[in-house]
Amino acid sequence: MTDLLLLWVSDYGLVIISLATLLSCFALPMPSSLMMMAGGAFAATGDLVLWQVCAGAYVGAVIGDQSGYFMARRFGAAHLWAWLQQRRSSARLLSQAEALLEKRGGWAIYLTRWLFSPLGPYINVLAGATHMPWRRFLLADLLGEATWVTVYVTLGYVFGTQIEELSDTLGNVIGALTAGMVTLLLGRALWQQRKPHAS
Amino acid sequence: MRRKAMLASFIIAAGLTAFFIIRAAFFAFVWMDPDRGIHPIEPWMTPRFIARTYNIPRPDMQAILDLGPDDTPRQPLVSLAEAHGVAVEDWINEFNAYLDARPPHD
Repeated sequence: MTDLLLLWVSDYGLVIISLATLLSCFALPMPSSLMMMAGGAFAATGDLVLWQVCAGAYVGAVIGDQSGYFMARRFGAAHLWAWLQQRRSSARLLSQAEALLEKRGGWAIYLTRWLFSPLGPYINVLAGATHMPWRRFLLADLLGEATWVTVYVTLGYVFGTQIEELSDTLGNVIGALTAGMVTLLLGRALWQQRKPHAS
Repeated sequence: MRRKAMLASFIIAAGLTAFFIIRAAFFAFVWMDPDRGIHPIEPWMTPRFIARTYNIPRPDMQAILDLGPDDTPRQPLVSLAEAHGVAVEDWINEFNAYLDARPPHD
């Protein structure tokens, strides 16, 4: 499978890299990080042009994020969110999520572009559904995706010969960081719930 | 009920964290292993990529692929082989033979 994806990058170049970063913003299982690294590796050999690889990946990612945000904002997710907030079982948790996004939304958007990237698509929908101010979302998104693209294309450029090994290792590191962060947040929420019972 | 669901989610998330840490460590160890050898030449690689990665002088790479002196197509090896009517495995074997014949620290 990895070989096929790398073949697509060497065959179709920028188009496939842009498409991969765009589709990954919709939570589709696209190994966009590997494809950006492949783009960087091909740029190092002169088969692709570095700035074009960066621009292609960047444009795809930003369009994908903005689409997720606006689709959630315009088409129904806001109604779904309001309905879930009326339900006793989910209201408190959703209010906490909304407060957290209100308070640290910029950082949440920025960090879920690259460091906790598996959460990115869901945060886009959450930001759209809670009507997070678009300018704030856009700024954090532009900075976050710039970090994501720069890190992975540079890694591909430098470690050209070892992109598959690097991708295997890094993919699991990102998975561990994301799952670890979710564990911490859930642990914190459980701890906070425990207090009223204790008193 | 909600607390139970949260507790279950917490346990699953903690399990996933451990799972990814173990996998990351495994791949890192495999990657760093000095006996692993170099990454094999594969059909998705382009001629320039092969020349740079395996430190093969461009004229030697062009000779193996039957290319002209200014010819470095931006195509994967498999597409190039198809265009030349050659089996890609034959070219990969030729590259491997070239690398085997080369002195170790070349």
